Amino acid sequence: MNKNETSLVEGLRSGRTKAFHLAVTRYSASMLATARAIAGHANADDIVQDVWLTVFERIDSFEGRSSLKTWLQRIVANRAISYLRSRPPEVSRPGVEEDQSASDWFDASGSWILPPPVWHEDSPYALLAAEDLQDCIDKHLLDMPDSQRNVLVLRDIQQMNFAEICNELSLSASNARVLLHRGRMRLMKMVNHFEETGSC
Amino acid sequence: MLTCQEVTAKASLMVDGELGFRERIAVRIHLMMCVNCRRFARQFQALVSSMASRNRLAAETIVPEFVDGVMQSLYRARESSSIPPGRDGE
Repeated sequence: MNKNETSLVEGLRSGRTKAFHLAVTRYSASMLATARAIAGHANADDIVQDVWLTVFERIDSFEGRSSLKTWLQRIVANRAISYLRSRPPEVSRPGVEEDQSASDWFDASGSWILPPPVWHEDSPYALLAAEDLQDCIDKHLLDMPDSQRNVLVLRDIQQMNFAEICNELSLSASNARVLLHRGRMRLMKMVNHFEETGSC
Repeated sequence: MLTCQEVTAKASLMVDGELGFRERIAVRIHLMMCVNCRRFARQFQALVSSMASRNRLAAETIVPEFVDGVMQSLYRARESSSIPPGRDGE
């Protein structure tokens, strides 16, 4: 932890209102992004608000082994995943468990049948700036099997390392990598479709 | 020599920097020769990078109404908890 964060944590431990206001202001947006990606927009506010109440009650359990932000993100991810697990099992939707190996892109010799579509923009910034595309990504994230989405969110959005992800989700490293690649390929197919048709 | 299908299957290991030395060289040689796989790899990398940037952009977005709502909840929780009023230090 840096000096600013140490001072903030001391303020939280002392129950200072200003410290809580600063922490809530500084970290809520990224916590909401994590909760939305895992549990959907409709549930994210409640999850993050609930996490802040937990932090208020249990800040003494923060040992400072990671940054405050990482600790908060981990609590949010766990809470969002617990929320998903507590829901009744969903009726499986068409396409949810479809093959993500992209084998339909290739012929018997493993060569492209058709060239991959040219995206209108292929820089990260341009992809982010395309609001319709980002809405579509949100929708597909929620349509993913929970196992794929959780790994994808923790790795690609939260930037957690594989050891942390495997620990959080009780997965083997190889299983986590398979789920991650399937999730990413699902999004690749979605963006390809979006680029070709303009629809989600 | 890797096939295009094998290269796409290694795309995640590639962007995560988890390919071994021999695999990395084999993928690079393939990418030098295959325009389709170069395009795929560029777009795959852009998509993965954009996901990371999503969080950074979100982190820069101020949400005053949400902050106010959380603070109100914290005040209520504080009132109903055993925390002494003077603890605030304000």
